[in-house]
Amino acid sequence: MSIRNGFNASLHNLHLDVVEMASLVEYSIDETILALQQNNRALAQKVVAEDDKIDKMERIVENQCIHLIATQQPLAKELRRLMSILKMMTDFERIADHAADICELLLELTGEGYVKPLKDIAEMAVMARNMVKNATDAYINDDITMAVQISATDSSVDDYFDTVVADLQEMMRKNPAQIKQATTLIFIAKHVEKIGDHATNLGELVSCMISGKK
Amino acid sequence: MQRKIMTGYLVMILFCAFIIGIFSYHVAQKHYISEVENRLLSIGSIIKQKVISLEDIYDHNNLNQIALDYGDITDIRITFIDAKGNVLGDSMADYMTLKNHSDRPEIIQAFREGQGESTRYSDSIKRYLKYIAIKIRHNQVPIVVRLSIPIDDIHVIRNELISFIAAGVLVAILAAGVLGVQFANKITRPINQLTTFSKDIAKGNFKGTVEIEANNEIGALAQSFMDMKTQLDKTITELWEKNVEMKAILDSMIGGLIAVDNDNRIIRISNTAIEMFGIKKKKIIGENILLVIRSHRFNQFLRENRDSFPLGNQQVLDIQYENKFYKIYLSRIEGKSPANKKIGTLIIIQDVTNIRKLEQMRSEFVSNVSHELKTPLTSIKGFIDTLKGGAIHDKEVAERFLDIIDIEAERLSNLIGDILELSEIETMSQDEHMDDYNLESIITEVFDIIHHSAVKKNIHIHYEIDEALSRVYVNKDKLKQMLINLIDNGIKYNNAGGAVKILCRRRHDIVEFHVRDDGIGIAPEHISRLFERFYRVDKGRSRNQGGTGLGLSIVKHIVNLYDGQIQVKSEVGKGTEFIIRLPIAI
Repeated sequence: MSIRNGFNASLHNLHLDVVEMASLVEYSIDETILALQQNNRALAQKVVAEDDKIDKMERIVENQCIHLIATQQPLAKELRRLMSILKMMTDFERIADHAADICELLLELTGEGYVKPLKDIAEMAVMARNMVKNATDAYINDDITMAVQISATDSSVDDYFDTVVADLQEMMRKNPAQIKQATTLIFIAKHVEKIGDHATNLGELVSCMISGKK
Repeated sequence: MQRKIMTGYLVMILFCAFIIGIFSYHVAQKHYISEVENRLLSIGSIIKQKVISLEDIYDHNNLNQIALDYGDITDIRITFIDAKGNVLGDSMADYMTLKNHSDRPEIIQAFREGQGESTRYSDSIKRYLKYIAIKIRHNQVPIVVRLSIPIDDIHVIRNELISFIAAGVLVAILAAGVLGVQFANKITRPINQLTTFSKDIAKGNFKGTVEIEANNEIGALAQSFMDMKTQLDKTITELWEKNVEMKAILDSMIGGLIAVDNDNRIIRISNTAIEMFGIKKKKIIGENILLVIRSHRFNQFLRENRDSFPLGNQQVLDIQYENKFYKIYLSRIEGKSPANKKIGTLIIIQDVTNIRKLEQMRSEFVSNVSHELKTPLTSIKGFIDTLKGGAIHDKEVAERFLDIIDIEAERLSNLIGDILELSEIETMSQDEHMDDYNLESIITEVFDIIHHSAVKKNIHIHYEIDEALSRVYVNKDKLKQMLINLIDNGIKYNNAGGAVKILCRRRHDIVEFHVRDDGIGIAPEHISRLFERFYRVDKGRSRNQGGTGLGLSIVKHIVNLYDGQIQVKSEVGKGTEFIIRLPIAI
């Protein structure tokens, strides 16, 4: 009994660490969005620098998972949970990487000023951020309906991506001088779109973790 | 409990029945055997008398005849044996064929002691037999009469006895069982009642009572349970009331409040805090705060200050949560016992969104004013420099430049005039220069002022006044300023050939001004910010029109001065309508 209690306590700590990781990632996306909107060089640099912290957190959580699997031989539900968390960590870490990549691209742009206000990309990023937030909420509350709904949002992020790319291509055709900035913005949009994809993965993992069905 | 009592009870009954059965069996057997012995002895004594009365015992037929006679009557085997062991007569077998009996223990005993007894298995008749031998002295010649009876009857009796005892035990067990159940119930029922009662209390139901009227230990227990319930009910109600009071106080706080323990689990949270962080989770108390409020900076701040912050010192953090700005204050919650100094952290959240907005507006205003003042000045300075640099000698250019300088100086003066006006209205709490005026004459004056620019842009302006409306109590200059600003906007942001219409309606003591144009209109996203200082929907256009960006701001402040209301209806491409209600009609 006492061993199981210890196991439950470790599971709870792990749960808290996962949420911690999620909030770190969300914060990183928030800062990225702010940096994008304000064309803020300092903020972008900060996000790039803080990516290491997230990588470290990922390793900590993964080690915890492996340690629990190795020493406690969890069965059924717990094992499924731990395996899902392991996979979720990868997605979270990738999301943070994309945020850092966006900021790196932004650093190349800063000083130039945007050729047109970054409306669509910022809105798209907010949408992707909300997907990550919803996935985390679904994870915390074991809310399967919320987890399932996340993939529906992904298609609107993809739609946004198509519009953004079309707009930027149009811009390049009209004004070849802006090709450099436009391509960088397309890359940024692609990264945002990938964040949406990883958030979809997170949603699927959470729903699989709760229901056990793929 | 009931089962235990019952089992113990049954085991005891079975044990007793068993002991009683064994005892009674032994007693019965003993009694039966002694009865058989007595019978044999008494028959023996009768035969003894008979034999003594015989004349010649050595006439074997005599003894044999006696044996046969008595054996026939009594069903007992009777044998006569002399001292040498020869059989002299037998009731069941031919005595001549019988073996010498001198080795039989009862015979030996009888010759020695006068009477012998033995129980043996007889080979000749294959049964257990009881033997009684009695010595008879007949004319100094000793012989022995031996009586024997099969005692396997005793087995029949034993079986009967056992079945009687078994039946008795069975009846006893049944009776005892029924009684036992009742007895067990009598003990367990009040205990069960008490159990249900205390379970109810544990669930928080203080309504039930326990009815046990027993004048024993259980009765006393029930009574003390009732006392305990009353006391608990009282204490809990008091606590509950205190709690409700506390919650009400906390919830009426303007700022949000959260108390967490040392493991960051929420102990208490006020409704304001729940609203501030938009918490939808139902189970909040006891949950780790990280799971409830997912703000990385907030949680990091909490963690950093977990043990470190000095006594009595507050820590402050500014965070942005969704679209709100919060100031977070942390202070430690001190426990009463010295061993447990810090029992948690108190978090107070203050919504500083409005303060932030004001700060932002102020800094925007300062930068706007400087910018607005700088633009005409730069151009004036530029033209003066050019003039100084030689352009002054070219008369035509110089005149054009001076015109521009004039326009810019005019704009600068307008701007400063507007700023002064605005600050004057802003600091004014009540207008002192109020008087009685005719509304129509005021509007005519406004039209005289505005006429020039309307004609220039080919805009048609006209007004309508309710017949019921003639006199107003107002500061004439302020009202004129307000109407000029509104109509001027209507003209500026209009297409050539358009129209501006002023309607004045009376609603009780309220005058309703409608200033309607059919110009370019305003997009909905701009309307909420329209009255901010220096806010321009289209910066280039406004400046070209000579606007200062303060016109509507002044209008709003004048309306506020008279406790009026202002409303904007607009549609892009169709026109704009400003509706102003002022309580100034007499």
